[in-house]
Amino acid sequence: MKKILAWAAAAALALSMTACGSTSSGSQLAGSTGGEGGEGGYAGTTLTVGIWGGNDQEAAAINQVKADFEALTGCTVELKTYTDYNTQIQADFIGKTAPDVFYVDGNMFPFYSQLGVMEPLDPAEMEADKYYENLIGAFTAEDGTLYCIPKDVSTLALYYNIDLLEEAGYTADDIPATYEEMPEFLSALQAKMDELYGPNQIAAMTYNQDLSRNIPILTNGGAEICDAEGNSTLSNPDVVANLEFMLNFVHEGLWKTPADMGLGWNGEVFGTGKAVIMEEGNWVYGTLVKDYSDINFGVKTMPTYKGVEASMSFTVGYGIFSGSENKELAKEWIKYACGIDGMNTWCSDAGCLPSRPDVAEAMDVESDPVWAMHSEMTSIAIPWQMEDTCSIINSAYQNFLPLAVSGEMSAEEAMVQADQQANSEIANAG
Amino acid sequence: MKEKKAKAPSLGRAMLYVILIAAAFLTLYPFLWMVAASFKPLKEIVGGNMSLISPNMSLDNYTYILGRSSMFTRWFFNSLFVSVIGTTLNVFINTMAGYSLSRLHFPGRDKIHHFLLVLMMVPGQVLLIPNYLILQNLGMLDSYTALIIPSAANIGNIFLMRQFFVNFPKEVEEAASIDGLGRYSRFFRISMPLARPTIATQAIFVFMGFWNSFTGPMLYIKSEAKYTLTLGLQSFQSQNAGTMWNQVMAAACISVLPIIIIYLIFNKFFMVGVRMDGEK
Amino acid sequence: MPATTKSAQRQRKYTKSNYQEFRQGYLFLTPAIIILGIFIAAAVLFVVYLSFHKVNLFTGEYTFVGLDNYTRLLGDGMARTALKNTLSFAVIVVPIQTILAMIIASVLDSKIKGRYLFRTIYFLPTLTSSSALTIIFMFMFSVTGPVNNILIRMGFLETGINFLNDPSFALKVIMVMNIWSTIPQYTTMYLASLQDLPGSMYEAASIDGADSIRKFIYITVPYLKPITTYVLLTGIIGTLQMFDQAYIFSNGSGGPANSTLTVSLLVYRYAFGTQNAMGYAAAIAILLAVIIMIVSFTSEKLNASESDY
Repeated sequence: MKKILAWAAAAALALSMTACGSTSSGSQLAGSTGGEGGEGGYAGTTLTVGIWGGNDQEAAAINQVKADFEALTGCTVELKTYTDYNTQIQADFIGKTAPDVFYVDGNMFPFYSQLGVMEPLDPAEMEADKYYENLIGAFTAEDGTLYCIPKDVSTLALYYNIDLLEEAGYTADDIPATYEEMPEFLSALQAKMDELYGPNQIAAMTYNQDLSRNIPILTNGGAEICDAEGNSTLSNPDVVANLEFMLNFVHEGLWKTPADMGLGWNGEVFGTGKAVIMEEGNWVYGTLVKDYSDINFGVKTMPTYKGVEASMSFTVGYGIFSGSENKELAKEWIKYACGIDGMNTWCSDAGCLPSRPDVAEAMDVESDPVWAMHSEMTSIAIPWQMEDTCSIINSAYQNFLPLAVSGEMSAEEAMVQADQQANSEIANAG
Repeated sequence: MKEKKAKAPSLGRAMLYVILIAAAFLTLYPFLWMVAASFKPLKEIVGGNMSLISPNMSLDNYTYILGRSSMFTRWFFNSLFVSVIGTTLNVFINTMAGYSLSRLHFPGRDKIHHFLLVLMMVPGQVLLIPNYLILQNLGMLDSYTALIIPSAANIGNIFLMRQFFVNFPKEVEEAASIDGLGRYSRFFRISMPLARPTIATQAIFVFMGFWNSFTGPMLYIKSEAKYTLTLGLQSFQSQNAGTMWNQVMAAACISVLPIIIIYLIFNKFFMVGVRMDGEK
Repeated sequence: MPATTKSAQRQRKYTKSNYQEFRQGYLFLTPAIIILGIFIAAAVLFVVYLSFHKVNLFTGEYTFVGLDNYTRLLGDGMARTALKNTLSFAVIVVPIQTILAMIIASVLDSKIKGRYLFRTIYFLPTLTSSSALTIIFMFMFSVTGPVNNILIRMGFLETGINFLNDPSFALKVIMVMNIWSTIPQYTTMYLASLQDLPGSMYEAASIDGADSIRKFIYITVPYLKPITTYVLLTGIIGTLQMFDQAYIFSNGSGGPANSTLTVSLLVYRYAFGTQNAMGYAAAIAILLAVIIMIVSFTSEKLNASESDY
């Protein structure tokens, strides 16, 4: 009996669940005009802003932006910190409980923009032309609709350990400006390091087995890793040729992953003096200064490959939840946080690059050599974004690259496997 | 028995101690390393220094963690509240159900038992969204109820209690019924107290489950004031620039402390069982 | 015991005392059934429903596709790899963790010196946070880490093995980690049950001149059988649903070369990745549940038949 009752209750619940979506979103949409009131007229309204956790500086910076915005509009801002963003926000979208406005990672944008969970933005109203064009492009869906405004950007640059270079008898100027000249330099450097510190204790240079880092080399010369339908084309001959060039560094023992060194990421390897050179994003700057203060380092521009300058850029934007009851206020938040004052506060306090040139100028990023270098990289950077299948292809790549690294397979064989896996997963999707 | 012991201290016994101590070292080392790391600066932790003592040890990580949010005490008490209520409910509900499934006879008993086991076999990853929608429909999101009630019964522990009662000599209960105790008082006054070691085991693991639970609070709790300690500590984690291991270790030590206290409280139940034949 | 139930059912005549027992039985189960019914059975039912549909949870579109998700699963090479990894994980981990936990528990239950201290020490791994565990294991098994150093020094290896990034080792490292962290829990449970083992049973055996190994095999093991059933079943479920450690180790990719891809990891990727394939994820989950069911009921049968000593 009890069992039957339980099943009946379960069935009733399951039914009510499938029905609930439309009704609740309908009622929320009906109330969406209630929040309009113009500047300063938002007293008593609460705006929820979905963010993910940052370091101390970032936490202080977002709280400052929040306080300034509250003073400006009279509303109350509630920050919701996500700890596992993709799991949590998807549950929130499905339950229609998402925050009014939230962070969207540039590389996840193609996926979230096609779910119908974000409110379209008017480029004129949001002054889209004030931002770097490639960043606005990163938040524009295929049909040309703008859904998010970039709040900041990060780029990769080349970091070197001044003291270790010196011990090996080099200066920063000896680091070649091209990947083609790198092997010769790195093998001499690695030999010196092995001689000074014992074999394999210090890596000449670190690298990551991750598309978000390898794209500058892999897509050189117009090589495509993904076609217009979002299918993986990692095994096309152009990509494989570029990959073989990259693998050469690894097979010669010149590049090591952080895991090879027993650590989690480049910052830790470099910070503990176990790597002479790394390519990292500007987020490493703060931790190098604070946690690894005895490391004497400098930055250089990313090396060129076949004469092409390239870096990677990573951007995060704000999007508005389509079921939000406070859309007007949410737009005000974006206009403020991504405006000159708000972005200046955020970027100067949190330590990141502005997504618009006028703020970069106002902040005087040129005064700091590290910031200046990362800012310089913005114009040559490839935004980390592909079709909505980006993370599937990257997983498959990370999955099979080790086989090419170990020599168990050729670069081509490994990428054929990666393609097969990614494309079968893509076929199962949706 | 005593005499037997006296003859025994042979090579075998010495070997046993060697193995026990070696295993204890293997077991203890990662835990001690975690404690040690919580006092070290980040650089030293990632520097691959596996020693337990270092001249650079300080309370910095703790002062940082405890000072990061004014809500810290609140989160601690939230966790305590949820864990204590949740554990109490579990102990009664699971023990009663386990007893019912092993000692009582009624139609459909074994079917219910197997049905419960089958429910355990569906992987949790796929249940996250359905659970979220159920709690939303019951209006329980962002409440302590959402953390307590769905976990107030635990199939694994019902099963554990059932297996325990299978072994439990029924003569004890029969003696009690001769003494004129009714069915219900027999359970609460005889069976449950005699099941103390197993109930204590259950209680500590259930408590740990509530205390460390992360996915539930992460999905169901929206307002910061209702965070549990685990969730609150996790919200300090920066999503950029790698893991701050020093802070993670200090946070882990802070959250492990109450469990150690609970373990020590329940310890005497683990250690000194009630021998059925009266031997202590 | 079962014999009485059967004969009672055959007669279909219950005494008043029988009815009282029925009532108590149902009453004691009610709270558990209500909670598990609403929060687990309903969710499982919903998952079964999802597995027959192509689902977009974001828009609330459900298209009935019949057995499509299941038939697709049969031809999915990745799912096969995941299943193979998961099964080999369980086959190795479950027996080791069960046997070691039982041995450790019986040693700690015997009258050795310092047993209380050992019990506490052996309990501690359950308290070590999983992130701390992961960093320690990743360090220990890294190319320049202690495990490689010891092996090189002892002359087993020429150069270090990249345990974490070598498909033939990655899953084994996770196995070691999993065994290390689950044994204490099962040891504690065995110990709790041993507290109730009548000392007279050992005494009788001692008089018969049985040594400690014989006592272990002929008294302890049979006595612990109900708990062993529990340990085996939860061990099977736990290993076949293994997720956390594989996720942390491979950063969610299941690599290198799918060597750490488990079924649960695959389920998670289809449900929460950018695949938006909840229906397919549900079908994989149901299939996994069926496999767990078959494995665990078979092992329960085996374990039960061993009892006829």
